[in-house]
Amino acid sequence: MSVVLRRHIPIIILASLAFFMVGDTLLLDPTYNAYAASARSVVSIIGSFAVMLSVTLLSRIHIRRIQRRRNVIESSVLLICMWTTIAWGLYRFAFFGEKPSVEYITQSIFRGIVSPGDATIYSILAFFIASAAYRAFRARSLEATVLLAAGIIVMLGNAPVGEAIWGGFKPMTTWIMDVANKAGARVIIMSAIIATIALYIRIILGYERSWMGRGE
Amino acid sequence: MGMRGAGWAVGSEAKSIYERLQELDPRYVYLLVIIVISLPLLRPVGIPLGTMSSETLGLYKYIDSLPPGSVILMIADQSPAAAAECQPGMLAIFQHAVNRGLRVMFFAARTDAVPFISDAFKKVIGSEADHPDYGKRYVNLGFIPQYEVGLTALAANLLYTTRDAYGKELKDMEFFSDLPNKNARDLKLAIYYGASAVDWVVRQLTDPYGVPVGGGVAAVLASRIYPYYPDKVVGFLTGLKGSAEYEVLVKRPGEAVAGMDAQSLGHLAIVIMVILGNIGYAVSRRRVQGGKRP
Repeated sequence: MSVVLRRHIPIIILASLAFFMVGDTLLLDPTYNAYAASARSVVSIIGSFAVMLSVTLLSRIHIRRIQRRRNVIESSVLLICMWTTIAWGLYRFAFFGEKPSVEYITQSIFRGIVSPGDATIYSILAFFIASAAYRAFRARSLEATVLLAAGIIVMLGNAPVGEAIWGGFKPMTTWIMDVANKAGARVIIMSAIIATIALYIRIILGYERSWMGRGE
Repeated sequence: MGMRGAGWAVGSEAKSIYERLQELDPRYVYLLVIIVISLPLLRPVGIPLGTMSSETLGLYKYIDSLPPGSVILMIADQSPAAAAECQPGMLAIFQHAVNRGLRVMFFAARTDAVPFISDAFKKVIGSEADHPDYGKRYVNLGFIPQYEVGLTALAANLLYTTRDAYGKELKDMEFFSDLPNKNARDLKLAIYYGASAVDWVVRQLTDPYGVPVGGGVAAVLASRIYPYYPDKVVGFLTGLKGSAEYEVLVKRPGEAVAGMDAQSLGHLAIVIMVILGNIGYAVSRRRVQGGKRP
């Protein structure tokens, strides 16, 4: 495939679409804005196709592993569960018009398996955080000491027991979150936005080509 | 440098208390965490909640000031992991909206948040699509995919999904019949409930349509919401504490209030352990610098 087809045409399509969408923000024209809104909805459609593609690829890779007689019992169970859920959801939707999101079996799977599993993993974090805080949270330098003091104050300020010990924890926590944290978080958000804009400009102008795949 | 790095904490000689503090087996920490969290859950201590957060009060007062019939949008984006902290708050806010006679429209931004909307309907108004006020005061739009893109489409046209979570036509519902714009301009407040960032809601509802945002997030993510407070975010609930505060405000103490004792003692245990660990570290370091062994 020529370089024009492989590289230049995708960049031209991307740049044209990008300028078109930028124009939607700057111009107030109903027809133009309506076309831009339609273009945005394409993202959802592409996302849906990406899900279908990933499910197909996952199944293909898994079948290949089974053919090579690898031990894949656990992932086979997960894959069968996934396909059962998909097939059941499609069946209920096709014949009874029920959305999978409120359908009984789907909800039961979420309530019975996904929710407890997710909540368990998150709860276990409490033990790791406690252990890591005990072993690693050391006042090794001035910066670490400031961080340590702020962390302890915010913890005690956010827990009722802190206020029961000393009433000063709450106002100190409010100051840390309202002033120090807000200033720091805003800097991080603004830096990330500027970096994102710079990255987008590079992509639109064709300097950044990693989105086109390997070798480009 | 830690004690191991200093190269003197070796051999069969007896270890000092400071040295032992540095090398405490993590299993003891786990055991302590289990004890301080389990006991208050089994037998509540009743630690007072203390001063109400201004963020929680801000949201409560804003909702309280809305005239009956105002439309608010509730975005469920909490994962099951964060639900322990967030869901009681969402129930309390929904209860407040019901008490105030507001109209509430729900949607879930992630598939695993859908059951939490059903849960809210059942626990607060007793039923879902078969409730007499469903379609008049309450609507469940179900799952709307693609986060920001989905919200953009909804903001431009509240009826864009055409059907609710139960397959009912939105255009036939009394809920939407008297809305003048049928877009985000009709919303008086959007409440984001979730484990991730609130940025996309502010970007798509506050900036273009002027809709104020409220919220509730897991405690570890509260720092992400502060930059928008109080200009764009009128108030929010921080983790379990925020949920507990709102439960108290709407006079509906529930799971969050019950869980606060456990959280308080858990926090206290961690703080004490960190202080002990640092005492061990400081004394050990001083002795090394002074040329002495502990």
